[in-house]
Amino acid sequence: MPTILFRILFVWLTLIQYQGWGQQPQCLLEIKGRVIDVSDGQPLAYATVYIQESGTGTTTLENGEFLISHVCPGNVHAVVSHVGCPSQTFFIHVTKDTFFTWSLDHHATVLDAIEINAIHTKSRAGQSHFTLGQEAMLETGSHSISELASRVPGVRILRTGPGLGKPVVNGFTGNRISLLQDGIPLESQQWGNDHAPELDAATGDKVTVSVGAESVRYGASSLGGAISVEPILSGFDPHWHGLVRTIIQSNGRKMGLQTMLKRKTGIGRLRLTGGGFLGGDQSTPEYFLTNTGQRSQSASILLANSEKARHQRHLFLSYYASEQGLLAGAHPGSLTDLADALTRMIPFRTRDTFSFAIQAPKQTTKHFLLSVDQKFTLDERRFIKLKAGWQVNLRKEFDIRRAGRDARPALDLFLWSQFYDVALVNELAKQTGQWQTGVQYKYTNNTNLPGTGISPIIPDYIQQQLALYAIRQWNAASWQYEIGARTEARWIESYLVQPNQTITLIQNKFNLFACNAGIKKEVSGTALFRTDLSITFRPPDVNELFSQGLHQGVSGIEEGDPTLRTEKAFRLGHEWQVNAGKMHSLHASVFYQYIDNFIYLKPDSVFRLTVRGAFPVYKYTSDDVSISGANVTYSLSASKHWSFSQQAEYIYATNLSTQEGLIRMPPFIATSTIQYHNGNVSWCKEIKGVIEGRYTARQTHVSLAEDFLAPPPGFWLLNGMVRIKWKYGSGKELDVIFRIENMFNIQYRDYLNRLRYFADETGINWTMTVQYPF
Amino acid sequence: MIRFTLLLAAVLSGFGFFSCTKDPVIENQEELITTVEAVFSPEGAGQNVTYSFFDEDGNGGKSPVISASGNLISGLPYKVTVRFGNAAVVPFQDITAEIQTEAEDHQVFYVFGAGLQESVTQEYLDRDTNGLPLGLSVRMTPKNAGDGTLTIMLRHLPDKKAAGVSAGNPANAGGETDVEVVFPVRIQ
Repeated sequence: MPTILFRILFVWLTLIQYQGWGQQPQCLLEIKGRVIDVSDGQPLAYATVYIQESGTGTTTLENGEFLISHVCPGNVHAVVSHVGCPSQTFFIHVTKDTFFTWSLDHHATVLDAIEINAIHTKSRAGQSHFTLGQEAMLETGSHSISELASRVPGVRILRTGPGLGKPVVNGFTGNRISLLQDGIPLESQQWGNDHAPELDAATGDKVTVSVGAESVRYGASSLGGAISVEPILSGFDPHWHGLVRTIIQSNGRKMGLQTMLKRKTGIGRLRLTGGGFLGGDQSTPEYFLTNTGQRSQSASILLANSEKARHQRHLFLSYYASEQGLLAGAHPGSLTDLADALTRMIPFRTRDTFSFAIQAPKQTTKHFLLSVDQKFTLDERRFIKLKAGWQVNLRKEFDIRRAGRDARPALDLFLWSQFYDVALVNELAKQTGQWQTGVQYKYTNNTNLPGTGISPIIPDYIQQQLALYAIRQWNAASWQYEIGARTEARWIESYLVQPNQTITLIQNKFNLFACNAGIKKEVSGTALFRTDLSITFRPPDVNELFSQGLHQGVSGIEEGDPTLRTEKAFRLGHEWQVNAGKMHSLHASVFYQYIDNFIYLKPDSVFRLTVRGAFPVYKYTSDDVSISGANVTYSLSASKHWSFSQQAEYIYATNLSTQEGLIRMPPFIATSTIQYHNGNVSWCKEIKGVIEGRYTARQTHVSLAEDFLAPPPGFWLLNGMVRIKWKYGSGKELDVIFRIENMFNIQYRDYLNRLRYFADETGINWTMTVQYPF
Repeated sequence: MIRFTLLLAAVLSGFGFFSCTKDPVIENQEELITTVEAVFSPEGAGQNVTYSFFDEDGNGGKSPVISASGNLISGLPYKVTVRFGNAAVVPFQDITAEIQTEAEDHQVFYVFGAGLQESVTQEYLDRDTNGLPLGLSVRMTPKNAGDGTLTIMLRHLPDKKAAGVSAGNPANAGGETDVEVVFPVRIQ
């Protein structure tokens, strides 16, 4: 047996040898070319061109040209990179000396390419945009859309325990933030603060965060912003490429696997993703957070026709499933239970041992999306965009119940939705602007599946939306302008179960309006100024109109108000960026929002007596509020390797009728980051180290009467990351990332985590991510 | 372009189908506790005293009805039996049996409020399979006359081994409260 193995090995080794020798003499070809900026066609000097197969490379001259010799014939991958743009790989088939022109998406100025912790800023005239790519997912070690988005200035997370959180953009969350997957608004149960988005960022290649109203494009539910997860449709070669990423996390013993495969096939461009996470009880510095385990799986298929086709189209299919445990000691059945829990140092039902088991209380979700995107080119400058999406969302919540009913969901929701958007886009001559007009229709059908044995908190409903919108953009020299308007009609049919066990159908109709205007001025390389104005009408959602019942996790009875009127938000935002030389850069944004009829849950003065004791009653009420805030980021490139950044964000939200602060608004935070980066190390290709200190203050502008517990005190956290990129073989890479969070294992509580009533935040956490791209 | 038009037509014609109506199923609220009844039967001569709580609509807006059939007499030992029921379903459902079956996961607490804290001694008469108290049946002996309140609490998944819990003190019990009703009590 060993001899056979030896022989195989020998033959194999000889073959490798032979191949190596056989190819050497033929590698005499020359590749010449030019690297240009895709936006203006200007040559890019000092861009790096690197041939993966031969491991040779060069830098472009002033005129953008380069020459690489000793290239072997056959298939070659050329990696072109330039300061301030994401590197791009070009696949070429070389048979003779050839001249290529490669264009890089260099976004015109250094300004737009400012990159802090792998976040790219690229604002439109009407909107602040931040993009996070695969790099950010890799360095964060997380595919949670909330975790990723929270790296953008002004974005935070509202949590119900570790790993269960939703993004908060400038203080707005839930029904006021749109989440989009492949351009389709994610339809799920957005109303619960304990409902995390049913979306895996790894089904896409980039996450774009729009800070500020995006309501002309996506409707009233993006009053506060939009977060979009999309696949990238470029970079497909006629053979498989992809990546495998494994993630191991010490806290909660979480492990994850993510894979992505893409290639050009006979039927078009194909991209597949698949992966999952598995984790058990997380822990604070002193005890386990019993029953905070979680599991999730996701998969997606993207099929697009050839990028050379006249009419571009693609089809996207995505699946996501999750199971999340809720902290066992954070489920009070009455106010007495809550009062007991509030005074405990360690939550009730905390076990001394780690477990992967997930028991009630818990929630499971499933989400399916099918979307179709068609772009019909009418002529050189006009095309029609058609987008259609079909979704199914299933949510089950399990409580601790008697007589073996734990296995029966206490809440069992089935939602399906369809979305259509048809738009005519008219590009003006010489890239001077664009016209876009469109019509959108959305249908949502929500059903409480029978068999829970509990009256549902949200009624069954059908909601339809029909909208017309128009967006106009101009580019004039260094100025950019944008205006947009949208008019929308929304019908809601709700089927309410009355106390006398009859069903009443209530129909609501809302006429809505949204508009925005923005100006952007860019002084190439040195400064950017942007201002936007927007008005958004948001109708009350079904939960705000008709909620009825005990929201057990929050120890309160929630009641909707069918007489609520449309909420009208007015926003004014400014954004500045100034670069002083190559060393200093300052980015600042401020915003002011005035909201007429802002809908929120207000505690009633009267408690309601039930069999479980007296409960506070929270009623959906509307008041006028103002929310203003500022984000400032300063970054310093001290040397070729060292950089420093300082960021701070603050929000001030006031209920104008009481002059008191709004509940659950993010407190002040300041983050300092020191980064070391070296792309030219002898023992590896690239090394990067980041150390980050973050201070979170106590929220002081808040009405104490609306909460069970005063906001927790401020805290300091120290996080770090080391990333090493190895290069081996012929242009193969291996990325290894070590992250450490809460380095000093500090005990603290976060105001934006509902668990703060019951338990501390998670303690020290190590994450190791290994990524193998191929 | 033709295919696109056809697709659009298909989409638009589909609109008609979507406006279907719904027919929600009314949940059978088999778990709701609408009725709590504690019967104090004197061990010896004397009259039964019944404390009852009835809330027909659960968490809804209607106020519960709370009543006491009489007063307790000091010095007289009572055997107390508590029953839980659900009148929201037809026929009336006795939930006491469910609690009996899951004795290890439940405990009933009897807490006398201001003025009566030291006035009544209590002793659990029933045990679960671990030998820990359940509390569907309790002996109580009022010692002094006075006015006050009695809170009857049913806890699901309490920590029965925590300090004071098996003696009837819920402070360290944890778990989830399924019932917490307060009755006015007079001891003669």
